[in-house]
Amino acid sequence: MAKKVKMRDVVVLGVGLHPFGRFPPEKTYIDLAKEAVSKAIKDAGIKWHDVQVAMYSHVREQASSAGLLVFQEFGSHGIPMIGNIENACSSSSTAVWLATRLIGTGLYDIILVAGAEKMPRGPLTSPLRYSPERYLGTGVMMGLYAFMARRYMREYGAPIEAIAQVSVKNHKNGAINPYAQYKKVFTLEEVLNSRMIADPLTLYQCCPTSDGAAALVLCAADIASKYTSKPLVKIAGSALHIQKYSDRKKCIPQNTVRAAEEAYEQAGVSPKDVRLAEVHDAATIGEIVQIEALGLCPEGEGWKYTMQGKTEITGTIPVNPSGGLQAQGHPLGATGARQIAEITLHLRGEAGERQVPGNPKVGVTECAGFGGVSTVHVLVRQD
Amino acid sequence: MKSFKNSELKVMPSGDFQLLGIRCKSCGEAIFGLHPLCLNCSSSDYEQITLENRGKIRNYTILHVPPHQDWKGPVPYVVTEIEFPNGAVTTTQLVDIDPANTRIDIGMPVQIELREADRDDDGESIMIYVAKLLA
Ligand SMILES: [Zn+2]
Repeated sequence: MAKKVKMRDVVVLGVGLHPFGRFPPEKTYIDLAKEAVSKAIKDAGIKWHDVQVAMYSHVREQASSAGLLVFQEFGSHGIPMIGNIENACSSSSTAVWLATRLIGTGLYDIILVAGAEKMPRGPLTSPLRYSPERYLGTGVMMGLYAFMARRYMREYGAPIEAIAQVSVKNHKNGAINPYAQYKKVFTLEEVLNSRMIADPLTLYQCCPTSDGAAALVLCAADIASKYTSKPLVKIAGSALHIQKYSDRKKCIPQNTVRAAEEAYEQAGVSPKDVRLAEVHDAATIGEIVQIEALGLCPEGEGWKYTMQGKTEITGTIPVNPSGGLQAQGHPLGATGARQIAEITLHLRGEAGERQVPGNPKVGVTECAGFGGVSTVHVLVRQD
Repeated sequence: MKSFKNSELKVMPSGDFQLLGIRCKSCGEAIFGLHPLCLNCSSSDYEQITLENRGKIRNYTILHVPPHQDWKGPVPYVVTEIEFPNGAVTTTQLVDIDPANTRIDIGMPVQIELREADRDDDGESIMIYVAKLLA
């Protein structure tokens, strides 16, 4: 357990995204990340030389210190730079978790977090090259999600149609997000009738593999107004938890339950205050169990909320207005930072056509990953 | 004949095999494979146990995509979570089955068998364990 120390407030000063999608080989991860970083610096109103620490996250790039090659494009002014902070899908949200603490404790004022990826096509599997898993075909990400879906359906009586509805809703959102990989709307029938991948999950219930980049500038709240006149979005809660052995007894991810409890407590908010969420829907079922773990709906009712349209942009608790991993895409290292950028845009009222209505003030992100990691961030606009 | 992961599967030259696990004397949990500490309570007070070569299906999925480019197995294929009688759990492939024409369900009994995964440079078989539905 971490010690409870008095922390300074930390805000998201700037966000920058490179659209997610598939780009030709000559467009490298450096090109993607450079664009996201440039945009984040500009959005924050700072100069590159104001950055005091730069952190980079990726999972699959076959390069050591990949991030340093990105940052050195901007020049090296003697600050600490970290070439990779890797925690599976939670990589850049783990970097945010670290950066929030480095600023919060007063060691630094401005930290840049960037994440990018150019992913190979095909199923995402455990990276071990020589292992029983490789011969058995176990350890396939969508197989693990299929286990989750089957168990959830059994325990809570959810029909596959309710789970597949997540894909319908998220593709609808992605279609109006200029940064999304997929801008195509699907009917429930199209989702259910798409090619079977890992029974009961069909192709359109599994997120694509993607290229893309996201960057954030995080800043001590007390100096933020020096740089920007935009609404300030505070990282009011930030928690990282790992699955315990005993968690397997529960269908709902307990690492997220614990991370959410910690993050809400730090923020001094309850799940009832949350007006929108970006969660880890690598498969459709992920969104349903994660909104339950975040306390955004009662346990076992995520599928009902989905069926009733409550998680639509116009619903009572909009989830994945970006289109989520399903439609926005999932370049592993970029996703965590991308989720925080998305919530920031909504809390500022800058999310364009996909803007969650009602001038939302509190949003939450959840990013889970292979190995049992879950990061939760609670974002609150400072008025 | 040898095994892939000595910490969970012991293969005898005769072809007989044992699945290994630990039982924690502190919390009572039976856990698949050998580990430095109890995975449930981190106690070092545990005993090594041999698991029974049978269990039941705890969860399953039918995968319709080869998991990687070098895949030599069938497609579609079935992956199951197996629960042993003492409560320990592992994940492996359910073999010798045509998933399109066979009923698979949670709770169905399985037995554990050995399969050759590969051969090493000297031609010796490297074995893995798989599950098979009990008739
Ligand atoms: Zn124990």
